[in-house]
Amino acid sequence: MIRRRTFLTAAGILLAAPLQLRAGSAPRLAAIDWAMMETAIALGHVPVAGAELIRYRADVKEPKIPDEVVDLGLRGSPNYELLQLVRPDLILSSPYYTQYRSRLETIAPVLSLTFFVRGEAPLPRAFVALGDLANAIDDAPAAARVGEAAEAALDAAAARLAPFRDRPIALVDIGDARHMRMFGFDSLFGSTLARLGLTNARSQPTAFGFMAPVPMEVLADMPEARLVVIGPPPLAARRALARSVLWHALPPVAQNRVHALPGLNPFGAVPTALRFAAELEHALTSGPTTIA
Amino acid sequence: MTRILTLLPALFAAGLLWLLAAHALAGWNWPTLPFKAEAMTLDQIRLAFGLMPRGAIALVAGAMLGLSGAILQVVLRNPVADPTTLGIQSGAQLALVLGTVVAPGIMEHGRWPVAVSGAAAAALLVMAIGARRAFAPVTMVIAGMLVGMTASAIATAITLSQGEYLLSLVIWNGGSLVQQDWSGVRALTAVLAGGALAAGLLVRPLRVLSLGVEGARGLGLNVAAIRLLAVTVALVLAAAVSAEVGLIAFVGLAGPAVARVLGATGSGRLMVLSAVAGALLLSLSDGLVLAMAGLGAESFPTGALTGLIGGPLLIALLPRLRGATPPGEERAESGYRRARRPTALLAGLAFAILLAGAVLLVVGRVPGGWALLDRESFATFLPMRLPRLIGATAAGAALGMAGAILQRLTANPLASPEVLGVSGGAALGYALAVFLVAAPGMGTLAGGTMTGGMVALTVVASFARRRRMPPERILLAGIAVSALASAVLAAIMAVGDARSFLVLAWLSGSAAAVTPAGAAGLCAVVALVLAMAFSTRRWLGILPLGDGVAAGLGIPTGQARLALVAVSGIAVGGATILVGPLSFVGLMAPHMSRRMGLVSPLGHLAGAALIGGGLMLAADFGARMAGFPYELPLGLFASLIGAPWLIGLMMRRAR
Amino acid sequence: MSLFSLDRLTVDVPGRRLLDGLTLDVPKGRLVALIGHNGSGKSTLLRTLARQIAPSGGHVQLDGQELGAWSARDYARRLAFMPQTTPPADGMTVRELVALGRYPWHGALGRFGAQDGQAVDRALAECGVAALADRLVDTLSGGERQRAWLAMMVAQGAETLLLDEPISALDISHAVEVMSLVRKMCHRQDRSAVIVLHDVNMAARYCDHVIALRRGRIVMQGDPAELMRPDMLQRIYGLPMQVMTRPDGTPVAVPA
Repeated sequence: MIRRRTFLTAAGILLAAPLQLRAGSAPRLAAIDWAMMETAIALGHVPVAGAELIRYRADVKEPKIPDEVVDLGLRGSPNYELLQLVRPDLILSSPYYTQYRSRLETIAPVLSLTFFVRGEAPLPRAFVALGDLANAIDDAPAAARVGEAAEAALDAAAARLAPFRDRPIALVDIGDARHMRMFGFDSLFGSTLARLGLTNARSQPTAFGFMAPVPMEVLADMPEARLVVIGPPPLAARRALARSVLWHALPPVAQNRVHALPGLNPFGAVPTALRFAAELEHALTSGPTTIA
Repeated sequence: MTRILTLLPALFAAGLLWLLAAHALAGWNWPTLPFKAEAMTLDQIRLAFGLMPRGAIALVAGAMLGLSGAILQVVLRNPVADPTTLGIQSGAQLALVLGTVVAPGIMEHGRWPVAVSGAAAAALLVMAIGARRAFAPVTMVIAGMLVGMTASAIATAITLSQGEYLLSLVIWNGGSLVQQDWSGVRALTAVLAGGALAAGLLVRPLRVLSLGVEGARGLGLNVAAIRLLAVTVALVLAAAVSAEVGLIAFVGLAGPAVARVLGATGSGRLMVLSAVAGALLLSLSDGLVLAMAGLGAESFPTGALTGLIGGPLLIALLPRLRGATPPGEERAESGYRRARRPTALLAGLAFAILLAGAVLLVVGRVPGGWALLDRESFATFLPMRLPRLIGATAAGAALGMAGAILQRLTANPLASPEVLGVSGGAALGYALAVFLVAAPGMGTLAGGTMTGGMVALTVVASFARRRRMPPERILLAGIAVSALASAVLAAIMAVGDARSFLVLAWLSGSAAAVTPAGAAGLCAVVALVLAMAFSTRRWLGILPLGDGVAAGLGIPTGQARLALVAVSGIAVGGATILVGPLSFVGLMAPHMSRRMGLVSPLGHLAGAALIGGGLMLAADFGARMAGFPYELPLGLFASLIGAPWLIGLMMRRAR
Repeated sequence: MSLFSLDRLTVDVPGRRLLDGLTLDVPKGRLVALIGHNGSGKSTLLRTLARQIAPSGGHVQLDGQELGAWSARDYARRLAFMPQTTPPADGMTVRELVALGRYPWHGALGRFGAQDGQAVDRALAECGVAALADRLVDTLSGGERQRAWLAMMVAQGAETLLLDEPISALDISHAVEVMSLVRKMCHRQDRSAVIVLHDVNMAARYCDHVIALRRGRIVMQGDPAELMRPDMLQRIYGLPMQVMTRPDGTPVAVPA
């Protein structure tokens, strides 16, 4: 039944559990934006609360979110009362959520960092975000440490991927048998690709696209490219592609230069970039596969 | 017959655009029949298996939609009927979304059965409502729009909950004609052939039906069977297109409209010409899309382009509805009891709402259970809960009153803010603010929303001001403005980026973002509307009796209508910021008020305000608690409560 | 003194001329019937007089003042109009309906005063619907409903009543009842009425003056005796008619 006691107990759990996680005076972070959440985790500061964790755990998978982290509900409409109960010291947001920034500020200070700007490479911004977030929580050494490690990992991956510089790479996400999304230099993947010293087959910016997917036949204009498919295509699409004359005639498919990556969060931060680099290296070195 | 020759330039233009695209692709080095992929260059394959089927499917799908619209218009004797306005396409959309998310296994066997059953469910609902009201055209379209809006709202919410991993759904919503082999063309051609055959067999019965139901029955026609058959044919045609290429709006409306302009009169010629016009229209639209792509523009879904044509067309078609409504068939429910002590009833309602508000202020959910606030938490939570509760209640009250005013103004029991176009305009304003302003704040968004609502209202009001404009035509103008707004919105979303998710999220509405200032502003809107209602109470009593009586009693009907439309517009615009464009509260509250026996204009309005506030309060509570800690969209939650009730209401016989 | 004077009144709709240059005077204090075949323009004329339709050309004066020069409320105090089909009065009682007739007097915001109440009571009594005052309008029979609407017009206090086919939907006994009431209302209280009628015999029997239209032009105007002649009826309806005399001496027209 509804009792005051329940409330206090529940509130007590909320307050106590994360404190056990990180004894000491570490700031309590609450992340609305997923890229910010990744960045915080990369710095070793796991937020006490994050938005839309159900979806995050299903889609992003890595880096893992501990079970104790409180789910704040939808990113577009977070549960303010719960956020208040969590008593964060700092709320991590991004310009996608500007419209309710003032509401968040009544609860705790807000750090809003920009990762994605049309026509700009996001990876450098993700590195800057590491530093900015670390400064905001007085842990600059963490940023330096994580940043250096990440740069080193990317350098190493770039070196190992040097043999694949001979051909441009087309990064796509297949929507249905006729359409796909292509990642340009202003996507996290495209930007990471460039950091790895590889050429992106697409010169235009990403249609980050909501509804404006690219017709599959655009790939015909990239006869030299290796095709890297991020995330498994829907079953129905795979079935239709298997029958498609056009698909099989596309040079990367016809000449067996298709590589598959697992699903990755296109709006992630440094951790996703590292994961992308690792998965790309694995996919390229282990040889081409058949998608359909 | 010579007027039909005016179609030739369109045919020529569409063909030319396609040829330009083909030439850009493969020069004149065309593949020869039969197509053998092994012997072709890649560009020839793109031509033979990409561009050629694309050109063919534009013709076939356009013809199917045109035919479908023509059949619906003939059988329902309604010049604005088409698969979009009757909610059929949205039904297919919802079914496909549900199929993709809930049972992807079903979709393995093809999208067709899923799309057809969704379209059939929506059509069944709309027809059932229409059958109760003698298929009165305005009622049919309103019912279709309401069913359609609900279906797409649910589909939107589901799409959102799936994050951005539902690219295929999103592609489908856009309506793209891109092809990669001939299977789609073959399938649709088969359906078109079957549909054309069925339509040919139906021509004669439909001609008899055009005499009206009594006349047709007198001639021995089984009216119900013919209607069922014809609607089924139209439905299968539209659903097949939906399943194959996605949402292509308004071609079914435009095809017959063009055919009529070209002088098609009989049902047979109308169907043939509509199919031809539909085919040309879609080809032309797709040719433009191809040309844009050729010029290096981002790809733009063809369906979004046809939507842009549809809204203005619907507005242009309104004058054709002259006298289409048989008198006395679209009338208010009557025969309800009258409350003996309306004042006491209203006081009771007000008290109940205050009580509920007070309870909701201290009760809430926390992880692990329910909780009452203690004194200390109360102080912390009050600034969060109070504006939200007040804001939701005020929004509900504003919508309830707007609905009551509109229902009295138009003497149509189905009038509601959703169909006034204000909601659609407000949504468009919000989207423009999101896309045009970098990192917009709450104030900018509110401004955009209000402006959008006001612009839509101005368009509708310009219809209302025309002399001798039947009130139901105002509703249709509102519907047309809604349709235009949603088409523009879809086009913006189609070329948009990740911000589209922001707009989509708002479309389903949330009260969480309301600030104390916002809540106060909404209360001011409610007070303003109440004051306006008080000063126009006599108009509100007389206007339902029609223009003749109202003018005879010396009411300046044009100004009165304008003023009342403006009042409802302000109320809806304010509430929409919070609730999103769809909630049904503006439709439900006046009905409930009426059924409680509140008959006098002021009593009716006050009752609608209180009931609307109460409904929204309940919806807000449900939206916050049902999926805790996930806050469900408020407007959507309210619609889900309202839709079954409304369907039940509309299914009742009008008399 | 004439009630209305028309000077070359013309009403057009796109593609068609409904009234073609009518010039006539409508007498005051009398029961005037407007008759004619379907589409003759009789309803259009009535609705133009009621200011429901704007003339395309020519002039119309009421009491020597242009129609357009009257303010809406002054006009409504002077003249009451009943449309052909009375709309459903959703959930309204007879008294509430009749009280709406006071709108031109109290306006949108004014108080419904004792005077208004008395006017409503008088109207209810005059039209014989006082006993029905608390019934719902929509539950009344056709004749009762028509009397309730007449009572609303009476409450409006207008000296002139414009009625558009008030008896076309009534059975013969209700039609007689309503026409007798209208006649009584005019002759006892010195009101004028212009009534569109379908039935030439009803017009001849109850009205004092007849205006007949054919294809938007005036065919005749005068007293009923002038109307009830086979040649005149043929000119109006384009059909041979026979006029017979009843035992009490009044004429009856039937198609020949």
